Amino acid sequence: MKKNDTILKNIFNVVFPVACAFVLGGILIAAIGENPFLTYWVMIQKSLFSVDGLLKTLHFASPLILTGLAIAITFKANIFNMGVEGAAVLGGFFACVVGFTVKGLPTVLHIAVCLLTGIVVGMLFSLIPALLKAYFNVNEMVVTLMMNYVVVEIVKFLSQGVFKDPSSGYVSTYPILDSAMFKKIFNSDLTVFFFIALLVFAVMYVVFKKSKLGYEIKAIGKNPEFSEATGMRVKNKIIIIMLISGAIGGLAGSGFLMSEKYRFTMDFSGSPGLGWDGMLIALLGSHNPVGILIAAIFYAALKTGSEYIGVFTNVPKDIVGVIQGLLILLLSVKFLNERFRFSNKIRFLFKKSSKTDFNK
Amino acid sequence: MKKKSLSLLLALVMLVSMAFTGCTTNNNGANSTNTGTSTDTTKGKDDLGIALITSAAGANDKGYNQSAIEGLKKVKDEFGINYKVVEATDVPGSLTQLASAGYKLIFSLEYNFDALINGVGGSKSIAEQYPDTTFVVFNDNPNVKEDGSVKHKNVVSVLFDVHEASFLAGALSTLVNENASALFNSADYAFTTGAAGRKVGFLGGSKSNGITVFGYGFAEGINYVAKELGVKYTFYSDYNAGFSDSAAGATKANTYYTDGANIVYAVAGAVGDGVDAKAKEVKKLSIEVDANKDSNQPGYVLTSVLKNTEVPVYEISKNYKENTLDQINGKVLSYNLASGATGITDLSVIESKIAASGKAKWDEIKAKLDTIADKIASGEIKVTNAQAGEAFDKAKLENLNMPND
Repeated sequence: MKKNDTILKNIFNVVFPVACAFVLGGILIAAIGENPFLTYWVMIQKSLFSVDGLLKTLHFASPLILTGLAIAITFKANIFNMGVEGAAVLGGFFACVVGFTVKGLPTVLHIAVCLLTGIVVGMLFSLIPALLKAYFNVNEMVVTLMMNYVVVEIVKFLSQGVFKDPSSGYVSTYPILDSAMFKKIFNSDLTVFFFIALLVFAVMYVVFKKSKLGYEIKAIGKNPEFSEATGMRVKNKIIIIMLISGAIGGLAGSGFLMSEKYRFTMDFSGSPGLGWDGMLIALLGSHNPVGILIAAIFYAALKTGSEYIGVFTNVPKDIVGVIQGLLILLLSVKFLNERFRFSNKIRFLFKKSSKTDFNK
Repeated sequence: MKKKSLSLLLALVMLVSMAFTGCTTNNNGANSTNTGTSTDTTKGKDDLGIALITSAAGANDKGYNQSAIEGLKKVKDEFGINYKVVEATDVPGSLTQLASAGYKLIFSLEYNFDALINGVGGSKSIAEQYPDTTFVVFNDNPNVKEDGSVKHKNVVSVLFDVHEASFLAGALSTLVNENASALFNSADYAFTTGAAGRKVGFLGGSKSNGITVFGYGFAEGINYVAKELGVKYTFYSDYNAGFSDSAAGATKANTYYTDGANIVYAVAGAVGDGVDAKAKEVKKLSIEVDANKDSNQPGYVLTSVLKNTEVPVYEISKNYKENTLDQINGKVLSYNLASGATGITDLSVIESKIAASGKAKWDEIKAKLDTIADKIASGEIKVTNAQAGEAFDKAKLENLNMPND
């Protein structure tokens, strides 16, 4: 019974902010003189209840599932890895480089090599903060956050320099070869990349719920000193967790490049980037794999829906940006509430002022 | 410790998200006015009209996109053709949706051609999927095969000869710089004089052909006049200014101004606003780009190098109205100085600052510019067009020193 209660509470904790964000967004839409119900209907109907739209939503959900998982695994262990964005960008960039420099490979092999490059680059990228954290106790949040900027400058330098496509009028690398592109299934947007993301999801589900590592992650997240005392080698575990996170982040970036962007440009990751979106998704899914899967699809539906809004209604698509912002704000309130028990304090204040019976 | 880092994390997440939503909401607010005006136009399903996809800068960028939309407004007023403006992040997706919704003429202002022209991920190109729709792309001509023949009959490429316009701006800069003391009241400006002032700055948003085309043309223009006058100039350039950080642009421009440069030319979107403001502060001059922004800081913006998307949008829409799109389909439309789509402004704003004693000299300069424009048109002066892939050789510019090209 008690378990059921907490699940219900958790669901409420997520659904309530989402609903609030939509209501507030709806008020805004009404304020600019458009019909909010119609707008939301277009958004939902086009992004979830039409075959093309649904496949497109799933296509855009693929990298978000991965970045969400990459964030969740570290956050669950109380390691605040902000570097998933950097891993995704770097992974995408080097997958692209391999995608246009290596010639003559059969499609399957070429795709595998590119993805592997992305994964390895992501892992190498995450190794730096992992080692600093494990052996020198350097704050990983600062290091990973700052390394994202380093990555942006590096890929900018490389795509304006050696890998620049001279025929292009803007900053861009060469497009990847046909053999490195994920093929679109039945001329929809969906590619095999989505199924790779699902596979990673399944593996991570097992890791989180059934494996020793999953238990250790939870234990380290709750109390690292105690975990060390019980015989876990926390340093090693931190490195492993960071490497997994980097690998998934790199995979997200390389897959996104090979299934959607096909060439590296400075706006590759979008704004906010894949990694930052992943953070919101991990938060929305309460760091739970199933939650993340649902949240990623929901979030991708918002994204594709926003494009349809721009085409089929007069509401600017930026309204979805507003809803996303509200969502983060409201989710953070819930987060705060859990940690600092604001609502209890407020209730306590009220009780005091209304002089109710304390000895009940 | 745990609580502390958690609250820190939260603050960070909020900050990041707020920063991003901050800019999107801003866009949104500005955009609503725009879509507001086209509200009634998009309702009629029977006649969809013309669609336009803006570039990342958005519909209210005071330049490139906004001028194109002005063109559509003019088309609506004159011919009664409806239009739809879409700000897209997923350009191929929006192209497909607009084409399948039934739009027969679609302008795409963003650099994003792979899916449209070549097809990606094993699918047919969008141009091939919708053969009845005419797609218009700007600033590049991706619609050619390797042997030079046209790939798709329903794609039109629009190019602007901005290198020629930049050449004029360069020539004007040198002429004004050399005669500054005669032209302006000394109280209004604080120009660096003599050899120390023979410097010009250039800020570009990115090191790409779409931007260097402006910088190279500008440099050649300066060199042309400097050679005639027998003086030597220094050309400072920075191609990493980005397109949004106007404060950083102001700082960079200031280093040029304090080093002696009297004129700084910014081809970097909103970065130019910062340069204009700095020019006013240090009482020197700046040069703007895309739309006529001479009134940004009246008297301190020397001129604007125009890339007026309104002209091609209007003309192509006229073809659409008259059902003569097949005349231009598959073609490259190049807009030169004579077309009015590119060039420099009429200089009327800066002219109001010219001292009475300098009027004669000013007229002389304007006449000189006209001659140069004629020489460009006749082919006597050849300006490097980086956008068309022409190589730029700075060694040929004898009177120009480019320390950091």
